Amino acid sequence: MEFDFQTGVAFGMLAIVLVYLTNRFVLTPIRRSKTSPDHNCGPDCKCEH
Amino acid sequence: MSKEPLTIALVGNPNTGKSTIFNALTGLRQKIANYPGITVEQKVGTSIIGGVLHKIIDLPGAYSLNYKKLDERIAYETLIGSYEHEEIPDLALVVVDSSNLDRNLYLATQVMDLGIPVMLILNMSDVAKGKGISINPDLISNSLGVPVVAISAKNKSDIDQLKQKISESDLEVPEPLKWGPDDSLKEAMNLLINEWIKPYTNIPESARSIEALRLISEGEFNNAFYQFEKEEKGKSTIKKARELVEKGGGNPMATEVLSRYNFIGECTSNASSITSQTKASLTDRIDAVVTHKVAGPVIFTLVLLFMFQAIFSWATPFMDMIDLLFVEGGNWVANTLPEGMLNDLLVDGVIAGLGGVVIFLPQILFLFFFIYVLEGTGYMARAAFVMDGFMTKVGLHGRSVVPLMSGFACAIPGIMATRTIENWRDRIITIMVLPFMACSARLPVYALMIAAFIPSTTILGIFTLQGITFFGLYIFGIVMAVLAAFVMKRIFPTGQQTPFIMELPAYKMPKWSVVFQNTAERGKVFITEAGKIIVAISIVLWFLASFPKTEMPVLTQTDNTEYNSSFDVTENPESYQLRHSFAGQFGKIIEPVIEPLGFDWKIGIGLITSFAAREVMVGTLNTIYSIEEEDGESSTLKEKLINDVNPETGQPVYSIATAISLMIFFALAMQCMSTIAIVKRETNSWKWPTAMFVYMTALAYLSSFIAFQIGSNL
Amino acid sequence: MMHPLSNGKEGEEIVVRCLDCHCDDVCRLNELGCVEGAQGRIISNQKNVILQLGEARLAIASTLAKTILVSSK
Repeated sequence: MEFDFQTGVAFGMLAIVLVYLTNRFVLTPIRRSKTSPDHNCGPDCKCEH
Repeated sequence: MSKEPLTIALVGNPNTGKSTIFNALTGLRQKIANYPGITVEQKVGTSIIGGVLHKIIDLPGAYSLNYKKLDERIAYETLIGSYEHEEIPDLALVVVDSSNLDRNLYLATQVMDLGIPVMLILNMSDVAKGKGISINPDLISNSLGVPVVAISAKNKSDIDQLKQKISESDLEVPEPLKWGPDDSLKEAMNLLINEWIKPYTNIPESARSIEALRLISEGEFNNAFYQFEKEEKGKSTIKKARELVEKGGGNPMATEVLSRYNFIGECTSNASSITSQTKASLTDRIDAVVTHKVAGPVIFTLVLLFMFQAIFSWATPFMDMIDLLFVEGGNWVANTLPEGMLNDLLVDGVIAGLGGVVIFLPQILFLFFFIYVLEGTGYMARAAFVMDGFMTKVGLHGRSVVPLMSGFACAIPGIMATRTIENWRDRIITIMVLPFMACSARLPVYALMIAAFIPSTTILGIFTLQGITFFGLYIFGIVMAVLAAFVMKRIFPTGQQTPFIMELPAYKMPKWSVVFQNTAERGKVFITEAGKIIVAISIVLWFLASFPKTEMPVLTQTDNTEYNSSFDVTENPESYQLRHSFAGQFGKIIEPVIEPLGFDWKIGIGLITSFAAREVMVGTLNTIYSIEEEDGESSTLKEKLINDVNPETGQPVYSIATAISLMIFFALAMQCMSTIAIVKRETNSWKWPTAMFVYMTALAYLSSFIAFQIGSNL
Repeated sequence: MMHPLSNGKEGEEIVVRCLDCHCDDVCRLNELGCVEGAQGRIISNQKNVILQLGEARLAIASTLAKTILVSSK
């Protein structure tokens, strides 16, 4: 495979997109799931309001 | 008024036109964020009033500061400055519905007790006038001791008058407890404040009276505010305070409410009068029909049928235009850029992927338009009322109707809206069945399959078979939600039932500018949020479908003598390359699992990517089919699906049975990471989202299998 | 003479006399203006009840309507 300008840009886009997807679907959900809600969330939650 | 920038909070009952005033004051200078730690939307904007830029907060609608629901708690906590980085507002604009003054003033008198400057806005004064209600704002102002302005938020001149009034305001704090609690209630409040709230809690001084009244009325306290080790002390003080009220001849639960209403009655008796009931009787006549036990559900069904038929047919010309735009755009890029990898990636990956989804923007816009119109007219609350009896029978609650209807747009706001359901069991059942409601992300898949494989036969002159199939899919989602709720009702133990109580707002014409603004906002979210994911996945997919580069073997006489499964004489080089790419190889691995459902490996890849978000499916198919397309060809995705032939069997890949099986899979499977994340947050447990994912996906597989096997054998 | 709201007739003018329901429901009804002594009109009574109280229109479940005692005006 020839590595020309277009190939470079295409692979650059792929790299950016992979970083975005990892952040969007792996890191952010992990961060969000660690945030506890502080409202009425039922029997699994200690608080009542 | 000082020339300092102020924080101004808009507070009021639901359906009082608060958001209309907020939009009128802030225009486009607003942003929607979340309250800290929770996913209730916080609308904050800015407005230039008297040459000064002020911050405006639109609080969630609340009937009372004695909160029982999350929305009401947020309004209360914002007003007392409980949130980190949020200061106590400098001015509370209490928006009341002029045509329902007494009830709305209940909240106003509570806000007045918080020790912050208050201005009363008598909104919907035109509606009140239409009902024959006349109000004297000056007399109300004198009785309450706060500035009062009568407006109709729809009129620009009234908004200017409001701004003028705000800029002239001297920000005077109203007299606390003006409604006059009796001596025993005052004594009980002082006892609670001095022996419990002041020494043991961090409630700000201005909110202590309101908190004391709440505790006396409810007989319990909110753990979040208090030091747990002193719980017993708190309980005994509340008990003593309630005994003091009882000794004075009052009912601790009702004394405050009755005193406030007495005061309000005195304030409004001279200041407002009713001269006619013309409009009210019109509302009665409409309600007599739309809330009728037989006609009501029929009307509700017809409204839904009309809505989905309209979404399908009205959007078509716009969709065709967008389709053409992307096809032409793709051709232009292909012809303009020099040949190479970037050219292919942009044309077959990005433009094809994005185009496959943007085409559904008109349908999304129509869907949200109808939802906002139904909300704006006051019909949504009637739908909840009409369906309550049925909902209760199947294990849901009348209040489940509005979250479930929101689920037609997106499961996430629907799940958040379940917070208005006070009973945990009702709430968790609603959350667990809500993703069955056909959200807008399913719409692209449904629309594509229906347009490609269901004939557009006209039925009864106005409906088409395509429109009815579309409606049928939404009904299918509702039926599955109902069945699932019915089963869950038997699994979850019955606790204290919360009966249905809801205020039915007066019928009114929706404010069209708000409807269009909100619809446009949702369209923007669809394009920006879904668009980002779709472009990203399309790029990754293009690489997976384009590598490794494989040359198609040259056909010779000897090769043709025996059948080679990896090579087909009718196949074009692009198709051969795709089948041998990473995506193709992966698709072939999962194909045996999905083959019984009538799906080939290309659909399989679409299914995998659609677990990120359902609408990605269409973009994925568009990317895959564009890569496979021979150079120089250019057709729509619909045409590509219709013409797709299995190279091994020579049969079309898609039959009606395949299309139905695929639509059923999409109707039932849990393919949305955002929904999983929100359920985890709302239930504070992985147990519920895991159970949801497993039962929905298993049900989807089984149902698709049955549908395809029956369909293909007919 | 008092009777449950659920037994009222459409169009009947009533006075709320007693809320004999769970305290949470009493609080909610009170906040919505349904307090003892409040006057209103029954708009619809087909299992669930629609009650007009002043300018507020409340939809009330039949189970709850049975616990609200009213008298004709």
